[in-house]
Amino acid sequence: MRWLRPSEISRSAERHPMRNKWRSTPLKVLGIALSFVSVGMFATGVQEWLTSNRDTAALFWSGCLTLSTGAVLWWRTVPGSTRSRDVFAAVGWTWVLVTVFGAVPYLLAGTFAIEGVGLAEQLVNSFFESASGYSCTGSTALVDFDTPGRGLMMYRQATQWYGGMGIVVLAVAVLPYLGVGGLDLMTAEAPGPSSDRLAPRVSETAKRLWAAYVVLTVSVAVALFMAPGASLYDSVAHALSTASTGGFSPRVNSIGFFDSVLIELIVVVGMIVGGINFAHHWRALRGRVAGYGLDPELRAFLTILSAGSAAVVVLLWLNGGMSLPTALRAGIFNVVALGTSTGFANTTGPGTAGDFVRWIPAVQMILLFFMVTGACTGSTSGGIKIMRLQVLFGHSIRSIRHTRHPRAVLVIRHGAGAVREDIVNRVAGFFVLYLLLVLVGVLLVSGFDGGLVESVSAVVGSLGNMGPALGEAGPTSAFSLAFSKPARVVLGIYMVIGRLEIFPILLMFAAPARALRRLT
Amino acid sequence: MCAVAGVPKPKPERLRKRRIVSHKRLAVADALSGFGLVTFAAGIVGVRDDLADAVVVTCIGTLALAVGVFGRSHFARRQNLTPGRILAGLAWVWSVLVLLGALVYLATATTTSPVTALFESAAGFGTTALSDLDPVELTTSMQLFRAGTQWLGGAIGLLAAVVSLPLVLSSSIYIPTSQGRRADRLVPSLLVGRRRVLALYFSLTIACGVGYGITGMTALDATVHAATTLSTGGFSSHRDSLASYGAGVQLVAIIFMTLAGASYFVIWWALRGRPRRVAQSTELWLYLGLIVATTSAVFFTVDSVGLRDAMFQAASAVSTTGFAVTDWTLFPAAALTVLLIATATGAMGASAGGGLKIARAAALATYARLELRRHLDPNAVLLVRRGGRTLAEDEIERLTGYQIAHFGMCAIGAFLLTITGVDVVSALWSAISVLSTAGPSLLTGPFGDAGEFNRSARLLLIPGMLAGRLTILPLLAAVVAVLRWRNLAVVRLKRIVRDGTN
Amino acid sequence: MVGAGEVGSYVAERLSREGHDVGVIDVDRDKLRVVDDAVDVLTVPGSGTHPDVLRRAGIAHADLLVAVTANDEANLISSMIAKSLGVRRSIVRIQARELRGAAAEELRAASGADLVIDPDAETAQEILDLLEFRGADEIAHMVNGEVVVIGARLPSHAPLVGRRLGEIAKEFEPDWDFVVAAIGRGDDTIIPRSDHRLETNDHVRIVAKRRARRLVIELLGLAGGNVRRVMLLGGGRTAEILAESLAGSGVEVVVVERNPVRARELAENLEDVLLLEGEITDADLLEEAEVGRHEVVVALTGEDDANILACLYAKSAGAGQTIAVVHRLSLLRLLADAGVDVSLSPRTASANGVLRFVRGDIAAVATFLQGEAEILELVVTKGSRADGGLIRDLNLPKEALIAAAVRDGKPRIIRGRSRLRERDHVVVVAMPTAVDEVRGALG
Repeated sequence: MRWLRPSEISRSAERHPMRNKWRSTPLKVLGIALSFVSVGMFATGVQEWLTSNRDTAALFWSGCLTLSTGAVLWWRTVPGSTRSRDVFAAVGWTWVLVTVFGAVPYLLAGTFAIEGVGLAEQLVNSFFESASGYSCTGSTALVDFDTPGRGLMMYRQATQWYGGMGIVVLAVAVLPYLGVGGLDLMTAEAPGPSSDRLAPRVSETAKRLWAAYVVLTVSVAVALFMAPGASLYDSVAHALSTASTGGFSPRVNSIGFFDSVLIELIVVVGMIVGGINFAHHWRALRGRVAGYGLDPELRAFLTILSAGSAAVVVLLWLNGGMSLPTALRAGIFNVVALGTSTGFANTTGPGTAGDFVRWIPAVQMILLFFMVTGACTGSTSGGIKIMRLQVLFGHSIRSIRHTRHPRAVLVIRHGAGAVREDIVNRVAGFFVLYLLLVLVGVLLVSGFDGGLVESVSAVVGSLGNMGPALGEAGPTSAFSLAFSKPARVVLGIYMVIGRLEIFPILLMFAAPARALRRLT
Repeated sequence: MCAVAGVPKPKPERLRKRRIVSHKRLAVADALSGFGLVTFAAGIVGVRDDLADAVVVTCIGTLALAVGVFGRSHFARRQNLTPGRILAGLAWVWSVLVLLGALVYLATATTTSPVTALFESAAGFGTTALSDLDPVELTTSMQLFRAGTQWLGGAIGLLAAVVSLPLVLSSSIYIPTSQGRRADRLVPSLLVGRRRVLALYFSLTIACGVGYGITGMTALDATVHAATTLSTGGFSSHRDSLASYGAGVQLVAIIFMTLAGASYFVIWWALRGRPRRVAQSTELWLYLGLIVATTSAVFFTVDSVGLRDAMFQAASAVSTTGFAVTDWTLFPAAALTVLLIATATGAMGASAGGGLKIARAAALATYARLELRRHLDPNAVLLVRRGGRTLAEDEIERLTGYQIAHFGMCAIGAFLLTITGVDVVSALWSAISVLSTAGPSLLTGPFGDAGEFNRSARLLLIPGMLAGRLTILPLLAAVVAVLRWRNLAVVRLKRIVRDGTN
Repeated sequence: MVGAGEVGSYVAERLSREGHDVGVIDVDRDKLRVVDDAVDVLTVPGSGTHPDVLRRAGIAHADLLVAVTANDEANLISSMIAKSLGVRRSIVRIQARELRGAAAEELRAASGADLVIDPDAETAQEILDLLEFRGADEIAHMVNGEVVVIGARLPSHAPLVGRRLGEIAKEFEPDWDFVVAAIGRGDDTIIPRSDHRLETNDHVRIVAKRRARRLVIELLGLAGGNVRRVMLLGGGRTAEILAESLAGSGVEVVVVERNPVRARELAENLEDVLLLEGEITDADLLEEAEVGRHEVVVALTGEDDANILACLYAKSAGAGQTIAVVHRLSLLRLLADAGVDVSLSPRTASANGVLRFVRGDIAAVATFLQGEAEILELVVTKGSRADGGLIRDLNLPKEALIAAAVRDGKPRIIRGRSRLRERDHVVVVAMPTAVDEVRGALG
């Protein structure tokens, strides 16, 4: 016979005083997240109703579904333990389920229901589009940009904005205190006289970060609207995916639609700002600008970005057969778009200047590097992150110096301070896992009939929340054309894994796996 | 790095005459003697085919041998071995050998281009199967010399991996510790270890040659291929590598490629009749498992390929040899990815093969899993265990640091290759393949035709091949040292400027 | 005197030999016994922070309190109490950087300390000086650095060997840039006259104008030249200060420290410095670090034997110059012959500071480990015998020599026919017994 475990006894006992509420952190978080997301569905539903009125019902009903589920969960649960493994599970499951709910509007609206397409294809594409949205990736399965209503397209942009919002809070307010993958480096290194937390409570910190995020979004929207060529709809839509470094665009040619240097410039600045640690932005809003200058990560980020842009521009100009102005415009825009993991494109069509899959190999290789690097920690960008790269670089140099001086005591410096050893370990572990994931991903995607270039770049791009890949999956193409169904599912999952810095999603399965092992 | 087994016991008064010299000079003298022997033999055997070439090769061989032997008897090792000296010694040995090798190619007028000569020499000593020459047009002496460079490269790589580096670095994850009886140890001391490893290497080569001979190769071909098989080199005397040979030869090649990529510790135990210790080696099982997995992946994804060809390509990739029997560049992407991963992972530690090494890859995987665990139980004490013992902190650091450095080198190499005009995937492939000392890539085709690279790309690959063979370390150590020196130089310069203005 | 440690006992000894009445306080009776045996002083066991202990040591009629225990806080408190008990002046040793900084200004004022000394920093400075004049084993800067005193043992190939001072002097007429001020031969130190001959292995001290220092180094047959690589054995505070300063000027520095925690701390604090963890006498470690490639090896742990052994090993491995910090003076004589090029003690550095302070009117004073001669910097006062007179008329004792003088920032070497004027800063080499007489002549 099996004895009741003490934990189970206490759990059942707790139910009564809380009046039959479930005690679960993951469900509580999920409830809150779903309710928030449903607001976006309703809002874009209203917009759809006012403008094109094609997919109003789809948005409305999925909003209802999401809200009811979310509200029930929010109402009926109380947060449980805040041990790190439970928080991991909460974060992981929330993101996955929000992605699933987020796919409903596309399904109901029949966005991918083109003739000759089965239900499976529709399901996969909807999930892919939703995953790409909430993970701020920006790869799309969408081919036909004209049929869906304006509201639905705005919803698509909004998913990215939500994703960015989630990640800002996660990256700055939640994950650091759990010590995820070296993100707590940031808290250790955050400059300025104030304490490292922006506020004593996580929820308070979250509100402040959102304020910074909203300010950034609104400023980009206003700037775009002031610029000639962008309508209110375009301005808002692109602002949403710029601040979140997502990269979706309601236009098939992305930023190339405007064909305007000024707009590209605004977007470039917006992307870079979105790629900087939001803690700095918040402090800057309070008038403390010094943080920017003191952050070694930010300095490295800008250096890499400018060096990369310079290299790309020079290569395009000298070897790539472009005139200097064209090279400048195309080079800088695309380096920033990929370096901040946004993934906008400024091509006006296949084979034009901004279509980087046609560029010379050296430049493509640089772009591939930028797909891996990502921007600063605590920003909305994806990828490995500059700070981790700095630590990894130091670590590797140190190990080489250790072969010559086996007994040397060497520390890894970041800015003025030394990096703690456990953080170095964590970052190294992160990198090893990252590589392993890339290998497995490339194996899977190429196993599902992907080409080599496409597989490598799409896996790296998805894990880094980039967007367009190289080869057939470039900025002028859609992933639904370049990859088979299972490959797209893999890529969709990879986006979520990459968005959450690998650990939460992998650890999500740890608890069930343990339970399974206990059973067997 | 002595190719001559056994050193005469020095008499006391002779010892006094010997000069105290640095380790690197002694290492170079050793390498020169080895080079001289091989070159001399190649020249003598080739006399009947082309006298002129044979004479030149013999002369250079004799000269090198004389200098080497003189150096050997003149110098005595007085300095203690330190990591810095070992690394410097390796770097010196390779630079000298590559230059000498190139000299032979130029002196025999095999090629008139210095770049080609250097490239061929580096590919030889780097045991990489990339060639800029047409093997069919080579004279017998040169044929043998070219294979001999790979054999020497393999021998030096082997000695470094089994004897020198573990001794000085005191920890290398794939070296079994001193558990077990003393007689079982392959490396009880530096000198004995060297002798045993070389004897083993030599006998395996002979066995392989005999095997090739029995299954239908000519004596010359058997010698050439045996030398390039056991060194995991991959040069061939034919344009189409081993494709034109029958099943027998290919089976022999499969067996010996697998052996060449296997740890010499395991082979040593097997020969000493200790099957239980062999069976206890997890790395061996992983190694064989990787070959089987690669074989089946290739066999099941590619319709046109038979089981033997699949096995051949798998063994060639995993042992980083670079022989080919089919045009694997036409395989579908999935099979290619598998082959590339197999090449990058590489052979077992303590073997002549290159790549990241199985033991390292396995330890890395364990490490990654434990880092995941650490998030679940932040306070758990988690240790990476390999081969019955736990890895110390500094070993783990070296492990991850090395892997990052390896990866970084691949990335930088690939980028530089793209600048010379190679496409993205071929560049990545070439960088990984060359750093693993395999060689062929999508661009060069299955038989490693380096002519596909332009001049600057070939120049770029020369240090790449050597870095791969030397497990990257000496090169990187030099770079880091230079960087550190430069740092201080900048400070000094600043001070001078400051003082000047005061 | 509070604290009978290295610095305390040394200063006590010097002061006592100059005829001051000294009382020494220490908690450790054994240490006191050692001092008692060696020097003619009053010893009082007990803590220097207890008023009655201080009283027993005669604090009531003391002019000066020197608090040099290893404990900063105890030193401060001693000084505070002593002031309240009526001592006119006090000297306090403070090591912690936090207590030396501006933030602790009020604390120091409250303790009433008139002079704060830090033996570690002073030792580090001394070693830095030695590196600047490589090959010399003693360096002292006098009169704002216008005059340097360079001490070194003459190697056989030195150009000065085998020559009389008179000959040398003639060669550099009419304007001397340096003068041989003292010669140590065996155990004796002499103030030389022109008929003295220099021999191999003599320890000479030369007083020179600053611009002539290169020439002197050359004449002494020393290596000179810039230092590129330095190895510091032992990672104490002195090493930290040294390493920071050296690395800051582009020297490759290797530090060996045995305590892992301290090693990590140093690695974090010092940029561009290579830290090795291990024993300094571990030959393998030194070999790995290629000790032979370093031009200068400095051993500065707290253990004399380890320091000396490490220096000997470094020397045999081919290191250029070895410097050992030695705490027991009795060992000194052995070292020079054994292969340790320079040995110095933290006590002399601090002692110089204390002595300078004690003789209030003297601007600088240098005492050395080897031999007894002191080098003083004095100022000629108005109306003294020296003001306006010829040197040879002063009738200075044989044990003293006026070597150089600085007037308006211009140094010159003093000879019998030179004249001094008021406010000249003069550098005097003298045996301790003759110090007072010289002072009488000058002011």
